[in-house]
Amino acid sequence: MASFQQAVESCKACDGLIIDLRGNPGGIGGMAMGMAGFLVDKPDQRLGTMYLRDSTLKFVVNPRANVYSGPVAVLVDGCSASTSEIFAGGLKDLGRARVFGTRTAAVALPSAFERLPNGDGFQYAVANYISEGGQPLERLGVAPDVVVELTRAALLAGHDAVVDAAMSWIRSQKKP
Amino acid sequence: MNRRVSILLLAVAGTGVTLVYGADPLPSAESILDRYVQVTGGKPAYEKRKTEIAHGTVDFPALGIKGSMTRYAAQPDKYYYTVDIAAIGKMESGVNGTVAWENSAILGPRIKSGVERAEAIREGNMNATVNWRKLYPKVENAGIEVIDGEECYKVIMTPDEGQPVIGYYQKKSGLQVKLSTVASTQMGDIPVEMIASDYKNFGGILEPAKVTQKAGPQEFTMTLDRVEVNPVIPPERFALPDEVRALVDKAAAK
Repeated sequence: MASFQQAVESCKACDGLIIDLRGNPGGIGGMAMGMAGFLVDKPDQRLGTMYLRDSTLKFVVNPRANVYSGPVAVLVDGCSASTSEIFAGGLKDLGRARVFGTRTAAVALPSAFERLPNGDGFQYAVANYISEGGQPLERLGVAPDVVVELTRAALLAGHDAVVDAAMSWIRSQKKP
Repeated sequence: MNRRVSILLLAVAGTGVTLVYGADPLPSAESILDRYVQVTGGKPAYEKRKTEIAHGTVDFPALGIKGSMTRYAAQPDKYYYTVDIAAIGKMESGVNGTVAWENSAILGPRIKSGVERAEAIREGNMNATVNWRKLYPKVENAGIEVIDGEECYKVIMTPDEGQPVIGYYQKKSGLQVKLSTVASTQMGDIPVEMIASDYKNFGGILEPAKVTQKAGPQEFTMTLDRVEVNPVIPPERFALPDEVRALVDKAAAK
């Protein structure tokens, strides 16, 4: 989180911010709220809601002291999962980010881990999660605002079409 | 240890409980709570403690992450609590007598209000164990339950504001082995259960060196390694961080 904070704070004067979550399998759900706090300046916003058997938890976003207010592009692909989806989907639903790439993995249910007697790990879903737009991320994933596929030819030519699309959008947002 | 319901929700019970219908008359809740004070060191030992700094670790085994924990407390009602987890960052919370606040890598800086504030203020009471009469106007012995093969009295403690806290006190030893409540947080109300074990003498007071807390889907263990008794703690330690101070000033300006 400290690295993310440094990156955002060092980019205050940037024309835009690109957050690349391609290939990011997720991690700790709360981190999505923490990161969003550097990008959302309105209070009382949330990324979504987690529904457990005995409680309901809102993924609230508390604006930080120095929020980045420029355009934000989030890059995703089929390997962006779980917390990555919560973050990308929530910011998209809040209208705070434009999402580029391909549909995410659609595996975003909050889960717990247990160590089995034979040493194997066992991961199982413990809750449902509905993104702020009202749709579950599980099975549906996050649909990009701008679908961009990587092509072998472009990669061989040294181009990342998803980054290019995000850069192009950010440039278009620049006020004259 | 004034067991604090310190929620470390990273967002994402370990004991079997059996109801026992005892034939003996139940002792009063008041006598159970007073006995707990007695068996953990007695009122004079608690009252001698004006300040403390507790050092320990936190371990989220399911997530494979660990961190350090430090808790500063001063009579009557100040505390500052910090947990540092490399993979996440620092999570601080505190009470300076009137303002209850949090400044974490996950939730950012914020001021607690309503029931959440009331709960934090109670946690900020340094000797909550002794001061239970002040903190919980209503207490009730709800019977006996067996926890890990030991009969325990189930005591329901109801504060003026917030959800009741249920403490389980071993019939044999008088020690508290479990607490459960529903904690009020900005994310929502969360059932919390804490299992206390491995009681050790820290400067004249018996405290559980190990507390396993389950909050929602998440479980973590706090291990208390060392307690500094009556250290000098500079007042700045309990001052609001700049980010939180800015929120207080902003709210005052409205």
